[in-house]
Amino acid sequence: MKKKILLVDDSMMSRLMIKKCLPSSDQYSYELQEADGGTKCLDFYRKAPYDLVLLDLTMPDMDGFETLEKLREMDPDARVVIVTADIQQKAAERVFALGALEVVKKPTSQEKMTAVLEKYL
Amino acid sequence: MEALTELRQGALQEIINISFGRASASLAELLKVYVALNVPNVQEIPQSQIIESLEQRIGIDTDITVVQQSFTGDFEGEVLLAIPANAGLRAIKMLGQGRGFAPALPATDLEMEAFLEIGNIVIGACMGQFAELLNTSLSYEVPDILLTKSSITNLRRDESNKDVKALALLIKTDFQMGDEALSGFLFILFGQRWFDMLYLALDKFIEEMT
Repeated sequence: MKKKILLVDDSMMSRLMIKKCLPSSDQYSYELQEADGGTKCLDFYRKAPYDLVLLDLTMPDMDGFETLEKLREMDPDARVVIVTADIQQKAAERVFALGALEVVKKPTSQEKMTAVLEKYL
Repeated sequence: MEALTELRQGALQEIINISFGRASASLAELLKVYVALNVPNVQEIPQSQIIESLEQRIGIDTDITVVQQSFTGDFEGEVLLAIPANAGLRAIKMLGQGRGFAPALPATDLEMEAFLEIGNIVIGACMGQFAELLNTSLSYEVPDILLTKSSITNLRRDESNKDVKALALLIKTDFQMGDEALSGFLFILFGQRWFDMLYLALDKFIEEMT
């Protein structure tokens, strides 16, 4: 059965850039769905949990910190990798404390995203 | 003239997001605080409304200090880092934390030094990453400090374009530093004569990255 990945980023350009770096969905047998904000992410996840969430931090409606917190309240086993331009140590410490698995800095690469899927999917 | 399409606007927003992310990390390291980022805004405005637009975005009642730096290269423009004027002493305090900071200058001179240092870090890191992502290089002029908002009117205008309908591209991102919520704005301005070159670089970026 195909694994489900949710890509959460308010920027369409950013989602395009990340999608280009993901390995082929046939190779890793996954389905990708996109959400353009934290609220939508929580709505989607509530309907059907995902195997992996790729989450941005800087978003206008609900930022990634709040989204992550609510997501982990909803599902303490939610697997979330942060993909962000916010590369500050304090941001990383905060998301790890909230249960994120890893922080990937933007712009990412095919090697990095393949490694992420390899490790967490 | 080429237009600011949705795709180009999105690319520019993402490039600034990444670039300011780098800048904020440098600033966070310097000030030992967390710098909260917001989503950048990109807008085409008439050149004649630059001053009014800046004032609107900063807030009409806020007395600000602006570090302004011009850049040249494949495209030219200006970067403005606007920080509330009353933030000077707090900035000095943050800069001095844990460094055995021994003030040897009057507070106002120190404030200017603090603003220049913050401007140097933020503008350098942001524009360096911006140029790298667009696969170009930029040169910078010596930064100026504009002490009051009214000084913004001294901004260098794009004198080559006298058309009253000429446009400018205004990119704005705002941020908050540390527990004291010291906030600031970063503006990047391009005159219309540079749009074609900028959009060409953006198109190459889009083609390569998506």
